[in-house]
Amino acid sequence: MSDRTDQLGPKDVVRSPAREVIRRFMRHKLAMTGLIVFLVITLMAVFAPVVTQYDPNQIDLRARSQGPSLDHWFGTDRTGRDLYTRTVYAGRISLLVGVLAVAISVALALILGSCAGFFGGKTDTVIMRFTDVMMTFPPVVIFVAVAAAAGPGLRNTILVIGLLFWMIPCRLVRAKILSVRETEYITAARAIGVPTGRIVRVHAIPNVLDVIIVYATLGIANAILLEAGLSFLGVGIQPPTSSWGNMLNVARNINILESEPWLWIPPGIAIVLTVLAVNLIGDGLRDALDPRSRL
Amino acid sequence: MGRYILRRLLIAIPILFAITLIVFSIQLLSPGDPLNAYVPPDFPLPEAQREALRHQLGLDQPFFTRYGYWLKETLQGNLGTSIRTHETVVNSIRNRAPATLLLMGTALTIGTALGVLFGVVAAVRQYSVLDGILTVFAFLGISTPVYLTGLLALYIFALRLGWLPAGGYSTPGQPFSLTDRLSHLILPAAIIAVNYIAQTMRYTRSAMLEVLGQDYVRTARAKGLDDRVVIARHAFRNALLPIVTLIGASVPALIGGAIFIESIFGWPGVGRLLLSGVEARDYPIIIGITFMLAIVTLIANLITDVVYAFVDPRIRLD
Amino acid sequence: MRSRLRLSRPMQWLGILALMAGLIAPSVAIAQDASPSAGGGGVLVGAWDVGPGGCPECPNPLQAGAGFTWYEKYFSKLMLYTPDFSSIEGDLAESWELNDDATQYTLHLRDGVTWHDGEPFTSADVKFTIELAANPDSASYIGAKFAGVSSIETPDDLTVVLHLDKGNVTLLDAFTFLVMLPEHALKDITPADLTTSTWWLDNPIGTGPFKWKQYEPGQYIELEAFDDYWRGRPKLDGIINRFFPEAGSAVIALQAGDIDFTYLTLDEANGLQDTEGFTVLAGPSQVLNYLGFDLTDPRFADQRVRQAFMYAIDRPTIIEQLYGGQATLANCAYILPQYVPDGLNDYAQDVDTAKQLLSDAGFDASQPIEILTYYADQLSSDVLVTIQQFMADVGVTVDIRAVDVPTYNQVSPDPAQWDIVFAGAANGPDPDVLSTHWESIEANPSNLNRSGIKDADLDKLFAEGRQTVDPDARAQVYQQICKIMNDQLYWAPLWVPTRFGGASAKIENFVWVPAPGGGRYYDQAELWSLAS
Repeated sequence: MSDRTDQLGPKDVVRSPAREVIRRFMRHKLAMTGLIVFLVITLMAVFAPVVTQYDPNQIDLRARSQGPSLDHWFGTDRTGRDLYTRTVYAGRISLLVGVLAVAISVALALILGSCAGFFGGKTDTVIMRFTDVMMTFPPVVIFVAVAAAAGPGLRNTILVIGLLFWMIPCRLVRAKILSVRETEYITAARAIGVPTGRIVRVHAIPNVLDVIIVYATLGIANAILLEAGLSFLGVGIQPPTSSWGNMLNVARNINILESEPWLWIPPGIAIVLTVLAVNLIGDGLRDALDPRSRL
Repeated sequence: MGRYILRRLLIAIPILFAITLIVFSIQLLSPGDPLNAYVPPDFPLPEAQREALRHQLGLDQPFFTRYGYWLKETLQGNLGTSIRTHETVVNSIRNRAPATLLLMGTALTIGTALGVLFGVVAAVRQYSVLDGILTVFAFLGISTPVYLTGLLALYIFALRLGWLPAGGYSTPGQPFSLTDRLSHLILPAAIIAVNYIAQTMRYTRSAMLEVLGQDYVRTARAKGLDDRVVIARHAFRNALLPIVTLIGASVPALIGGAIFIESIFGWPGVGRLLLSGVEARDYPIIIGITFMLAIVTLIANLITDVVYAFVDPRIRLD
Repeated sequence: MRSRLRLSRPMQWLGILALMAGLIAPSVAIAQDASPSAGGGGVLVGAWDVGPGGCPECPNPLQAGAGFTWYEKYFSKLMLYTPDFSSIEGDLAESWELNDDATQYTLHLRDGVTWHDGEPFTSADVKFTIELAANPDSASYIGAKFAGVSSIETPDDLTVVLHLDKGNVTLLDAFTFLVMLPEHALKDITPADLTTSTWWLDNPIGTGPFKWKQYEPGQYIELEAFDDYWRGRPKLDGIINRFFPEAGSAVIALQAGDIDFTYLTLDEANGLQDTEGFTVLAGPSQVLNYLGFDLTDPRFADQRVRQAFMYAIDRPTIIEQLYGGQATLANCAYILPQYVPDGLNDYAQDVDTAKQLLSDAGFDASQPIEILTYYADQLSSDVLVTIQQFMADVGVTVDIRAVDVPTYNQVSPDPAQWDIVFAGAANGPDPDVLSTHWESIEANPSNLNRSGIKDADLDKLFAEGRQTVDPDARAQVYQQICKIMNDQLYWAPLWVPTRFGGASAKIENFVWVPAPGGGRYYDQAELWSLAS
């Protein structure tokens, strides 16, 4: 049996499609643009001390609430902190939360969803009923409980968001797997005895990638914004640390919306850019993975 | 099929039971019991008063006694009484449910319809200018926190333009009128709809792209069949799976409402009831709403699973 | 919290300064353009209780911590403060006498007052209300203020005589909290059942200028004019309390003309000041912002460490810059001149002294200090990061932990869970209000002395203050308390912020001033009217 598997999937055959995917991705102009934008944002966050000249938490009450200028490119906030610096540093928190929380929920959704869909029967029942239970809890109730049990902090924020938003992608993955499970090539693979794990990995998972990519791009925006909401409930990042979400929260005030736009527009643009870039990467990946698309 | 549904309904009973137990225990975990929410931080409530209140709220009973009592009452259709307003939980929810149904029903219908339409268009015209505009619009929609969109919408349409009322469900003190209700409904419904459009559109586009690449669709198109027919008859049907999942997953929101939008627009819905319940640690309200949402979620997921089999005949229910 | 300050960041801003310049605290701002000739009719819509902590649907005024502005529209009290909070005058009580040691109160009720259902208001209602509130089953902190009343006599329909175990002049202040309730409507409900009764939202009966009309859950409560109000029928036909869970939305509704009154943050007050058609009302919040130390922590048991905090934080700069001058510096809890003695230490910022004090005290700067707060607004957050910076300048690392009010109430009684609180406490109208925070008898988990202050001198002075009837002699007592607090710094007093309300200029004869929990002063609501 194992011999036959080897014949079906010799290593060079598996690897060369990967190279092919990378080649196709590199030729995808929009995707490369997205990748470059995302890399620039990420690198700026990583090397924040290099690309900024202020301490993000250094207040200066004499230079408060200033509009953009040569000294302060994005202006200063109500305590005189430099907003360009804070936006760049905030990227560290927001990118970490966005990417890691989504990674956790994607991993859970993939594993649980494909197991439930592929194996069916008891496995499906147990996993999906567990998913049902998780779906019934209003997140705001959970947040308050977690805030008490775990307290604030970056790690808790990532975990809470990651562990609370895998249910819908999980159902999406399962539905997709249910549908491809009965297609000819998977039936055939099973008939010739390819191990289930391999079928799932090589044949089933690529089929759910489109759903996962869409979820991930939507989920990153969701997680970045949610982090700020969590701060109110005592889970998220506490002051003075900045995140794009909590910088946006300042605009919960009509006067600032109207007369001090420099306080909320930069973090807003940072989020939109990041999310759009991730989406372009996602689209490119989808196209690169789809052998039928013209590239 | 019948046996499958029956089995799912039977499984739902122990699941509901487990959910009630979990929700009920959340109050042990959460910071601040209802007493702490009852008393402002700088007002003294002496021990005797505190004890009396604890007794009246049943908080002096052991956990399982309280749970047992709640379960007994719930089986009789009585979900307890709100600590904050003294209204019964059933009445509180009944008072708020119509507003939430109206808001979410409108928003979900529009959101799903436009989301699917835009998604199909974006897929058929992949990487066209239209696709680009719709994509950017979708991501602007989901990258903006709803409180910001909500305040901005109020600012523009109620304050600057004066076209629409600044929040609320009806003009206070006026008799009901349809135009009055609709004028209050437009903004919150539109904002929620935009978020649904964005999400539905992305999933639909992705599913459509997948199907459009399939051989039979290419063949149909190559055979010179009208594009619209191919898309409507063949492609779209096969792209329905994620859309059905999404619709199914948003059904509970029809009852549960939208917490932040309802708060910003002063919409008297269930979402706001839940939020004020959480703020006040009003556990009868929190547990009551969660319990109700649990039932709706279980039913919606069951229906979704059944619908899968209709949408995609390859799916077997077992 | 409704008692929470709704202040936000300032801007350099002349209009409000000009307005404030004319007001010596405490003072009252009245809509300027009231023309006595006009008026009559109309329904006034206000957001009388807004924001995340607001609870306009919490119907029981015996248990409410705030929202009195609204309750007083349909319920009445025996007495109320004047709008400048300088004295207490009669409302349902026409006059009263105290004996020399304040152990006996004789109240003379106003004749001809009727309940909304037409029944006469009598001494029996007063006795009923006090006994109901004082019963622990009512779970009323207001009622608890009457725990010292040993017996109540009603010699006739209009006279009530209260006997107290111990002299206490602050009962007059307590009466400004206590709404009168109808015995004839409530006598068959037990106090325990009343706390969870729906009577409060179905058809409550009061003696106020307006009576209950309708309650729309989640939307608003509407009252209509009470024709037989003892001061005369109100000029308004009705008044509505619209609910706004998001305070920012209420301000937009005010500006859009949908409502006529709401509370404003500092930012919003600045924004509205120049807008035609609106009046910004301002006054001291009567809430002291302070840093409360955990005195059971050996680090803070050392007076030098507490002093170091005061020397490190440049309070005048914070008031000037962050509050735009809209706060009054406090060197003890009180800011009213009669309670503040000469010669207080003003703790002007002095980084070297602060460092010296810390090193003298052997303060271990390697351990960060956590400041716990329930203030979630942007201005408070800005203030806290500024304090964080000032403390960093003297080598002390401060972490900030912002939680919601129920969490705060659960965490703060246990000193093991916090180091310092940043909080607000009412410092008036009666100066005794701080005794609940500072008397050693209150230093237990269920009470408010969460710093664990145990100072025999303070205990003695507070007891003396409660038994001193003569106002001048009483003021001397609180001056001594102020002196001790300034010296000992069990709390680091910071400032008393200004609070704002915004009203449509259409409202005539409108009186509104900030107060902890709102209301408790005579706002002449029966004279309010709407210009067409």
